[in-house]
Amino acid sequence: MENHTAMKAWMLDPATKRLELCDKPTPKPRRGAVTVRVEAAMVLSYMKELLAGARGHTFPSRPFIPGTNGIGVIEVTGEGVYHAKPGQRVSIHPHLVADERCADPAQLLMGHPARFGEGAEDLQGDWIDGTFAEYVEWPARTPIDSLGAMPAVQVLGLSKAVVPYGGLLRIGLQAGETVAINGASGFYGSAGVLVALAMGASRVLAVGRDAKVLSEVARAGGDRAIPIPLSGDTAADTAALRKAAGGAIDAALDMISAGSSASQQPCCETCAVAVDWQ
Amino acid sequence: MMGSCPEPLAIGFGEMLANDWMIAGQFMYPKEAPGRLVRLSASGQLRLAAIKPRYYALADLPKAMDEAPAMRGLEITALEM
Repeated sequence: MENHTAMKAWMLDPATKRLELCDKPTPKPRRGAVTVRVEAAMVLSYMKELLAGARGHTFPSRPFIPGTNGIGVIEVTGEGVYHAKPGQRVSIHPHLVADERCADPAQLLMGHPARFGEGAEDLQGDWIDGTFAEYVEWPARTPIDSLGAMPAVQVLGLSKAVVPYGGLLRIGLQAGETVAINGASGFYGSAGVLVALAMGASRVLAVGRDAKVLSEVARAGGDRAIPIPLSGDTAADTAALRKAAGGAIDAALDMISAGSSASQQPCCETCAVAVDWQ
Repeated sequence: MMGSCPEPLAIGFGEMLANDWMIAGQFMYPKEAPGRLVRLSASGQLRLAAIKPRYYALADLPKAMDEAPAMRGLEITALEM
């Protein structure tokens, strides 16, 4: 391994919300952690708004490196790391849950100010730095290896797909079912269409407001994906969903963003109203 | 329900029981989910070939953040180191 001791990293000052590209020492992995050389890092659609503090999160007390998902190569492993090895190509995920057997473990997103639960402030103090840097230190329990030669863009695509996958697992989507993905022209909803197809859904209704993008998403999914552009008329939209589904829908995932205005809010309800209607 | 829609969801008791509905929220995903998705992709079941990237240099983060809200559908925005 080459000996890299300095790196470029973006730092956000929580007090001023000022973002600055800095020279920093390359992080040395603590016990149970690895240092990863970052190849690429995803930029969320709402990152600027998020880092400006406009989404109401509780920021850590110290300056930190923002950035959530990424792909990279493990450079160094810390003590107490039993499986990860230098040279492994890994995808990096920001969702960190305190690894203790309690009822309600603290959780957060690394490189992002979201945190939940008692103890989350301390967890954030230890693990807030993210991927907008040349190197990151990450808990060894979260990066995923076995990527093989998967192109970087597809690895980053997994970051987009894994969030709706969490929702589809939560609602127990089964092979053979018909599922509606509301917000399917959006960042996560579009990937949710592909994930539902991969999980074996017989029909996936790609529901949203942008007909052109919905068509592109459905085309990427194949014959089982059907674009359903919403008109805003709930009765007409429900009828269109039922017609495309051939009757009742088995399940629906709603991935509507904070950008949805009150006038778009019936989108949130249209899918629910069509699910299992007797 | 995922996403970040700020509006309350108006659902009646009658609709809920007449249709045997269950409504669930979910933050993120279980820890085994990313690994399973890697396998779904490797097996060809998850078709990620349509993901369209917009790459920026690390130093161009401000530009990337300015342009990221214009992403639609299967696009992603990323910094390439």
